[in-house]
Amino acid sequence: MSDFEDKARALFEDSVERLDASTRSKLTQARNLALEEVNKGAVRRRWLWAPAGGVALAAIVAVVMLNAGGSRSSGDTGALALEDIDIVADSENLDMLEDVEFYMWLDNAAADEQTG
Amino acid sequence: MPSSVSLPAFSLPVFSSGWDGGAQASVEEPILEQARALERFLASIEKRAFRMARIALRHDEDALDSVQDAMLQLARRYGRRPSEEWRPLFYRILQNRIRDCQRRRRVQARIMAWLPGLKSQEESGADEYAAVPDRSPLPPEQLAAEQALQTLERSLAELPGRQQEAFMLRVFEDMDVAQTAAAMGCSEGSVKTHYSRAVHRLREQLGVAW
Repeated sequence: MSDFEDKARALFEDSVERLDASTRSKLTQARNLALEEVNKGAVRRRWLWAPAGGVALAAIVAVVMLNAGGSRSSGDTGALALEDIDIVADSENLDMLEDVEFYMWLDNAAADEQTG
Repeated sequence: MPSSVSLPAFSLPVFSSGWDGGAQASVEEPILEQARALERFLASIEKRAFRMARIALRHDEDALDSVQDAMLQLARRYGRRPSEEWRPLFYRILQNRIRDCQRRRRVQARIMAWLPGLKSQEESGADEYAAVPDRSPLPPEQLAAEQALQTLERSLAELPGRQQEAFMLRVFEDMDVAQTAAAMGCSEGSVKTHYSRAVHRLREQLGVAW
């Protein structure tokens, strides 16, 4: 960075430090509002997924019970069922689709870092 | 600013029946941790974000609204994403909010130009004391810094939007080219072009005063 950019940054930092109390307070309120939103969102998401999770769990339990009589020999059926529950109940995979472009950038950036 | 602002109630009373306390705690812990991380992140950038929005919009309330919207949007849509992604995402949302606000103003200005009656009404309702400075006189060094900052802000405000974004993210937010490209939603080449033009124009405008 040149002197010019350094000076611009120093002035900006100084103005951030001297921000008035009223603005600081409003920013704190805005932050708390956003954090409350996370809380609400988490509750909402869990309740939305609860019925779907319940149905998936019932279906997997039914499949396990139906298979249990015929193939008792496979000892890891229980573990597999638990993994299935995780996969079915996880909404992250759907969330990922919302911002494909951003994830492509992250992927490229990580690859660049590894090569360079 | 109070640095130890308590987190809003983050206890999640979901699935309270049928789950034992230990299981519930183990489910809630990552959510709590994520919420704390988000609070730390927002607290670390909010003042800088406000100043950047203020430079772009030249208006306190509009700048606060834009920052608040960006915080809400980040929390709603990306709160559960890894924290390393938050910064470029937040600034991308903020820049979109700033552009929306500028677009809204242009439309309002066009409507006002067509309806002069409304304009005079609007003006008569304005706070006549809003522009009156309310601070006591500053010491000379601080006054000089304040004047230099105002000159810089005026010059920045006159830059085209993308040049302004590139300069502020690179210099004020100390982002590298790749991070700036992610925050601006453009290629790294475009960032370099916008940034170099911004620096060139600012140097021209500020001239010997700097």
